[in-house]
Amino acid sequence: MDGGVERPGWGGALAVGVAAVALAVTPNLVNALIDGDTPVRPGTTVPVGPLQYDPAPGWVEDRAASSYGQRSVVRRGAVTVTVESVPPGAADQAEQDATTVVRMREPPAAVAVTVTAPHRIDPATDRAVRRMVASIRPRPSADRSDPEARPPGAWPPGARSPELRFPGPQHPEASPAGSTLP
Amino acid sequence: MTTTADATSPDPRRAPDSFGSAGSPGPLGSAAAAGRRTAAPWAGFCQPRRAAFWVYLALLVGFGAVTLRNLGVGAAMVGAATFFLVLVVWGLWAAVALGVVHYLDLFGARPRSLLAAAFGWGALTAVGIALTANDGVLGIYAKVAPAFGAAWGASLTAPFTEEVSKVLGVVLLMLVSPRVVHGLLDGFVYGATLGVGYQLVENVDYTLEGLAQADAGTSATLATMLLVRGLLTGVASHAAYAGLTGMAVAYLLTRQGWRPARRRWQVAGALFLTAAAAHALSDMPGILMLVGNTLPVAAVAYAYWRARRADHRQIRAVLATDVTRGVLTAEEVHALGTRRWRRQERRRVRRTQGPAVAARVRALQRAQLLYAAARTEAVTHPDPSDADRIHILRLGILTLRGAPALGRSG
Repeated sequence: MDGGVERPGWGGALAVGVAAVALAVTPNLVNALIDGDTPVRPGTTVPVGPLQYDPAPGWVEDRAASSYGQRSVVRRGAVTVTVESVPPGAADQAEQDATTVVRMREPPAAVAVTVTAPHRIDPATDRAVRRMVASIRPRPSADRSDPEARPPGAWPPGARSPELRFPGPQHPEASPAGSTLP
Repeated sequence: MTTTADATSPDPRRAPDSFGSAGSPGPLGSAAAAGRRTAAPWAGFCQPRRAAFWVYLALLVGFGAVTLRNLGVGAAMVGAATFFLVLVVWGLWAAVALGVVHYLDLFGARPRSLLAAAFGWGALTAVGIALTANDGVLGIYAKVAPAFGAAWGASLTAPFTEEVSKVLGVVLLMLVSPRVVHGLLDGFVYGATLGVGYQLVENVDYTLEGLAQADAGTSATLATMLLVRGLLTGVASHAAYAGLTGMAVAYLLTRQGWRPARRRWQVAGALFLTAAAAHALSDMPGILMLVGNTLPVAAVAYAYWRARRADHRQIRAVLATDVTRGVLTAEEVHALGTRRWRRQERRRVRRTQGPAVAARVRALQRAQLLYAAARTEAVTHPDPSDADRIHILRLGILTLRGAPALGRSG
């Protein structure tokens, strides 16, 4: 055999190996260095599936944990609110896991809202979360004027929001868990 | 074309089989065995003395684990029975796709171990690399420009990460066994085989995801996936992209000394960018996706046509002295260019001389292809063992044609 066939060829092989590892690792390193937290500005609307909602100003949107158009995660302090689109068939399962599930008849859609908080939720946070949940509505392109299309019990102006079951003990001044908005 | 197979040769009914069987007695069996014996030590994948072999294995283990873990998550969502059903269905699809690639392999007498290694890289390593890289890049998009990333992230990310992860496999295989790459179609075949492996795993993954999310039943979702990802896009997806990038690498390697370096990089770059552009279009939203699924077919068809002509031209040049010496006729060398031409010749012989002689022509054509590959390898990657190997293969051809053996030179 000639020398080229006999040589182990470490240079080329290692170059390919390093390139493969660099291709996989570099974007993740850069991603880890970028801060994904963005303050929510007044008037911000976030799409979640065919629906959208208004995150509360002053909260922080966790873009790293969010998935644009599918899942939105906002935080204030230790309280995290996750608004996530769920397939219509999985809404029942989501009912058991999430704080509340908002269902829409037309377009057929549902979003699960999960509130996590390691401590009692103060009244201001409680109100902010309820406002966010109440703001869930169809995206303009998917909006329908048919009042029957609105999810039961929540969306027509002036209607009550769905029940929220906040985790953990509630702040004494906050609405009791499972209550509806006054 | 005239083929000089006649009734004076050994039993014509045994010719094709005996040529294809390494253990068969007689000159034909010897020639075939020699072709494989001499090829095996340096042409196959298992070459522990080469660094690329170990790098391949290390990357296969590392990134293969990522791929398997991802598949495991999908399997957990749908259950074991559904998972194996999906695996079997797409496995059958992959077998058909590999058959298509094999049909397009005009001049190949290539080691199965290398083809298996290409498939394995595509199915495990390349998918693992791309999964990891895509997560990172899409994470960056999500933080920097979430709306833009959601609409365009996939089409701007996948062409780079996935095509590079696949082409690295082709490069590594060519480092493991440099001698088996002597034409553009070699790059195409290894690349396309790798692409079929990649697409198999991607199809399984997408189907599992679809089954987990869809309201429709398993069979309806599976049928939809088969229709869209199996039939409509079919091999005109990852296999086509990787075939093009494989050709790019082959052009870089096999044109050394024939073409200026600048020209080689230009052609290779154009092939890679065509594959990446087709991939990008196929991931884009709306009507662009249709263009993206059409472009690869047109691009691969054109590139394949050019590659076939170039490889055939190369074979004609390499076998010119053999034509002069009577080992092959010019018509026989011409007929090697496409499967259709070979088939036409066999049909002509079957009509005029009967099926037995036609069977011998088939064996002769196989022997000529092996011989052409060996002669080309001897030019592109000279090796002292070439003379023996070429001599034995030439003996096989001459025996099939009933002609006297020539000397060992050349």
